[in-house]
Amino acid sequence: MSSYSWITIGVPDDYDQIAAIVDPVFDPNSVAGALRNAISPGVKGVLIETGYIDKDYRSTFYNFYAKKGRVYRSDCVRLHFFDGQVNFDQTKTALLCPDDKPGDHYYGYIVLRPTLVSTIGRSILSPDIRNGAHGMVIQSEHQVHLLGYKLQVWGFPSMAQHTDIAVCAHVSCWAILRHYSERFPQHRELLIHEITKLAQQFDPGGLTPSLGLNVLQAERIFQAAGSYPLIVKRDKLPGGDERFVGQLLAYLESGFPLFIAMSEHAHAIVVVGHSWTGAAAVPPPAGSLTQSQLGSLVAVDDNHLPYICIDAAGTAGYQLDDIDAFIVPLPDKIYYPASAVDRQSTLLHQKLGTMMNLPASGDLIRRFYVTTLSALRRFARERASQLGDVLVGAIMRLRTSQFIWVVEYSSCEQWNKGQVAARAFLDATASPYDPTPMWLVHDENTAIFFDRGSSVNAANLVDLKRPSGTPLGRMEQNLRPIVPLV
Amino acid sequence: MDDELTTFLASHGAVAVDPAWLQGLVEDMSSTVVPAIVAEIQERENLAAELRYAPVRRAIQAD
Repeated sequence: MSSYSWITIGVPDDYDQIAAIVDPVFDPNSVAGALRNAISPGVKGVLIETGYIDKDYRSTFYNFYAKKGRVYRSDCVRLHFFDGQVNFDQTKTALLCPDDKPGDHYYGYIVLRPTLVSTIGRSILSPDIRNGAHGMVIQSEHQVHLLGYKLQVWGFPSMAQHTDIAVCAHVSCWAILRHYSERFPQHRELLIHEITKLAQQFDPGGLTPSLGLNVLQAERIFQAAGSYPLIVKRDKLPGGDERFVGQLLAYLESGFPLFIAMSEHAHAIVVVGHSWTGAAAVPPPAGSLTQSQLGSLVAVDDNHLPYICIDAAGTAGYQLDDIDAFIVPLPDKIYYPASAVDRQSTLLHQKLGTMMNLPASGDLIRRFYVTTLSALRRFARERASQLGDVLVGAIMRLRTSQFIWVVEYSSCEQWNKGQVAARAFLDATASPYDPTPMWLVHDENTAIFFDRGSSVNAANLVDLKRPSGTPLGRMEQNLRPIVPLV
Repeated sequence: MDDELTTFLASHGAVAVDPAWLQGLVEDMSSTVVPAIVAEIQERENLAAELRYAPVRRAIQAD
């Protein structure tokens, strides 16, 4: 049976009221402690929904907890977070707000599992209410049904590890795959116990999952779930760190959440966002990749509430250097890896120097990421006055692969202003042996269109006739900015 | 290149790129970048294989 209780949050200690309402098997004191520190003061009300049936907990209940000697409840509790515009009318069992749009004041939920320890289950929280979170985050829109209302929240899935039937690596795989199933219709939803089973060729039972996963098993989970995982390990060669972080950022900025392995910490997390350093870029930057401009990464770590920052201060208990490897679960039709784009775009910059107006090598920042043709056309439509009729018309007529690598070249001054000097669009399905995988390269004045349908090398140069004095703006489409709720 | 795009570009005064520049681009990419890309892909797979078969490690407990 469901019941609903409202608590008003004036100060962080108000979260302690949860313990008076919620059964101790949900460990409400620990949950209140976590919320006190992590949730922003902009949250003014929490609706506690008991008797909630959670599909992910039920998947572990049917297959694990129901087999145990201790009796476990089958239902869960949900905590819903609202800003100060919403209140709860107990008599009418209704959410009240002046504009009658409770969805506009909703910031997500946390499910509590009746497992005594590590009770934070499936959660979708907006990063806007996470203390300390800043930058840009991969998010999708999640529908939430509550009291007959259909609410929406943008966020990334998270949960604490069970410690028995699922550990950090299972939970990291689950979070990525749940994001995929919410974001992309071709991915089916997989419950947490299904993820646990996918790690092995046989039924892992109840003990094996608690022993952890290796990278091969995480890769297997992503393959079985219909994605095409690529493993990238940090190498120890000169320049290896820059290239590794450069690739990590390239896939992240493409909108692909990354399964992160940290062998020193025997831990796995998901990186879902980043922030640029607040300092202005000055020439020469420390390397030509955007790695030199990275401020922090934003992670979903099952040991914390989501959106913790991985920064130089070690806020999360580890730093960027602790990341040994990542798995990026790619869609099919991305055959040209980020490492190849890195190499290719370096020489292309040198060769284009005689044809286009590009920043000098000592004043260059290269940013690259994947987008789709439809997203590129949407960008061109939205920025039509900036790009000009010739470039927009050509992009609308260009026939490419579904996925495209975009390389943006900026000087430090342009980077600071969110502008680019030139862009190259590369075929994401190209072979690594292809010497010219470009569809198109353009700067402010001219564009070169490469003929990828011909057996001979050919390309056309066209004057873009863009509006004079109009700079080219950076393309930022795959991640959403965090707008802190105050 | 698609006829539609070729026609569109031609209507806006497009000209063929200098064949010598294009040939130089292809030769430089073929001689330096492509071998480096292929070697790096092979090395990445070697590193990944090392990582895949590393012993199973216990994940850390939740705080």
